[in-house]
Amino acid sequence: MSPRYLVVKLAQALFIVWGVSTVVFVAVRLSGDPVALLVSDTAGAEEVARLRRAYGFDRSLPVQYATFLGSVAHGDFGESIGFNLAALPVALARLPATLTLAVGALVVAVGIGVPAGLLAAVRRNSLWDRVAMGAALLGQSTPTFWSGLLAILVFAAWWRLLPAAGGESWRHLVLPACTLGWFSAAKVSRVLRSAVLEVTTADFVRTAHAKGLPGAAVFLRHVLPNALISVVALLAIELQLLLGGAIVTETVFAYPGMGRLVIQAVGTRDYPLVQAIVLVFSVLLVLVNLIVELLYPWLDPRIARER
Amino acid sequence: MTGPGAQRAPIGGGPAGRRRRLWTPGVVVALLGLATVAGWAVAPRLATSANPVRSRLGENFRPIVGLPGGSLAHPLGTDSLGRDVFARIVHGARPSLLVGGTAVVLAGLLGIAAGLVAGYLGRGWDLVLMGAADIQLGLPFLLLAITLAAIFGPGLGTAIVALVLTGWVPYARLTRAELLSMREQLFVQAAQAIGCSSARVMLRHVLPNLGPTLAVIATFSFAQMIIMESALSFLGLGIQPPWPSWGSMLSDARSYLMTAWWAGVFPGVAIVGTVLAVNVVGERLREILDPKLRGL
Repeated sequence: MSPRYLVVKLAQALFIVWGVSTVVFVAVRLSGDPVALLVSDTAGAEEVARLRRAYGFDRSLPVQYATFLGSVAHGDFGESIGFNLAALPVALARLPATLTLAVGALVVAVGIGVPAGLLAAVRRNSLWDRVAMGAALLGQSTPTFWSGLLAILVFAAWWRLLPAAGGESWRHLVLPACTLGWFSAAKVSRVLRSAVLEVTTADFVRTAHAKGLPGAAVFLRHVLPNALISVVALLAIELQLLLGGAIVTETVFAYPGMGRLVIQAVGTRDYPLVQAIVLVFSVLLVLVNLIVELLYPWLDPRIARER
Repeated sequence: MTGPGAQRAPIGGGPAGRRRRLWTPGVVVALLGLATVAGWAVAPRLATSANPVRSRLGENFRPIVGLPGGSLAHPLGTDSLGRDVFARIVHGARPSLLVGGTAVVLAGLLGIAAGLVAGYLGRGWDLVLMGAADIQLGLPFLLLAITLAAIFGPGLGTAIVALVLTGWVPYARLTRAELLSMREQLFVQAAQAIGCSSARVMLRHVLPNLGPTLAVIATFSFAQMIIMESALSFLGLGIQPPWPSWGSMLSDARSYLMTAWWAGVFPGVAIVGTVLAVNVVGERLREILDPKLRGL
């Protein structure tokens, strides 16, 4: 990996975080009086005036913008109205739970999606292939908040196998992770299937067959590693979607993560906390993307040469 | 002169004619289902006479027809406030289709315009628009919708704005990419040579050739937007009570799922059925119009 590639990707990541902060700043300015978002409804005029000065809202727009970017860079998002604490630590306290959920879902996606996709590709046009592809289409059309409700109904209410809500133990993780991951499993299986089918027709696979390698060796040594590259690329996108999906899934299962907290914060009009969580999520998404962009040339040297 | 017609895939003819049939049984069923849901959205009172918002506490938690206690008066049962579940599903079709439809059209127009500008007018615009598209990565739909709801308050308008602001990117990317490759082709160069303005070249020669692919993207994105709208309503950030929407019905039902499973099952069936139908049609369109798009 060339240093230039590294620098470009880092700059891109910083640019995205800057862009998101700017969008948030503009939206807040468009709302009218930004101070109204930062104080509780019961605050008196003195408190409002004090905060207006403290946040620099009585100064010119460029100064406000610079102040805002500075406070974002320092992780200072103001004080949560509901918790009476700095907003960022409140948000970060819930981060591990959300990460656990997203990674759990990713494990489910790979654990189900990879075998299903391989079977569908190897037994092409068989009944199994059709079932796997039908399930993928159904998975694509099923919102997690509904499959989550069904899962609660069946596994928690009727069969009483797993808890319906909460986040105290690993048992609380099973239903949310499966609900969130099943959607991605469907996509992983589809992408892997078409990648295997595509690689199978490549010249180097024909060469491997021609030099007399047994079918299994061709598949394991030549087809599979190349097909899995596209799965890794997909998983990067999926992990980002899973982090977003966690917001909904956490709400369904009352799972104590950042996603549920941000929805509660919108409900209680706790804007500083909402802003802190949105930016933490945003940085997380950018980081995942950056890591994958940096891993990618290592996984597929052809790409490193192109760039 | 609208570009080389020979480049388009022949519809319903040619050697692959059988494979490219539009009216497969799956598509017919899907379209019939969509027509029904669209009918609910346009004229809900034709499908049900029950009032979707008036609560009758004496009638709450009536099960579906066929179970003990259920009756034809409430075929899909009633919820915690005694409101007819079927009537609420029928009336909930309107916000779903309205938000999804409006957002698809606006996002499509915005994206195509952005793609044309970026691809045709060159470097500077290109950088700005593709940079804006990159920012999406850090502020995907749900995060943007949450931010807007926290600042401006939740509602249908917030939902549509968030959907449009995040939905335009695929159209812009595709339009730009196709435009760049088309610019080198003879029919575009010929149009430029005889003195057509940039606007004329784009609107009369380039855009019609993008139509089929854009239609496929729009179909899939419509399906996604229905899911996103109901997700927002589920989170309480979409249409506000007492008006029914499929997402908010599920969110209500969550708290009494053990008592009245039907209230948590059938609104979801409506969402999945509608989205699945749109996806089936989209899948078919893709196979017919643009085989290259497989795997998109």
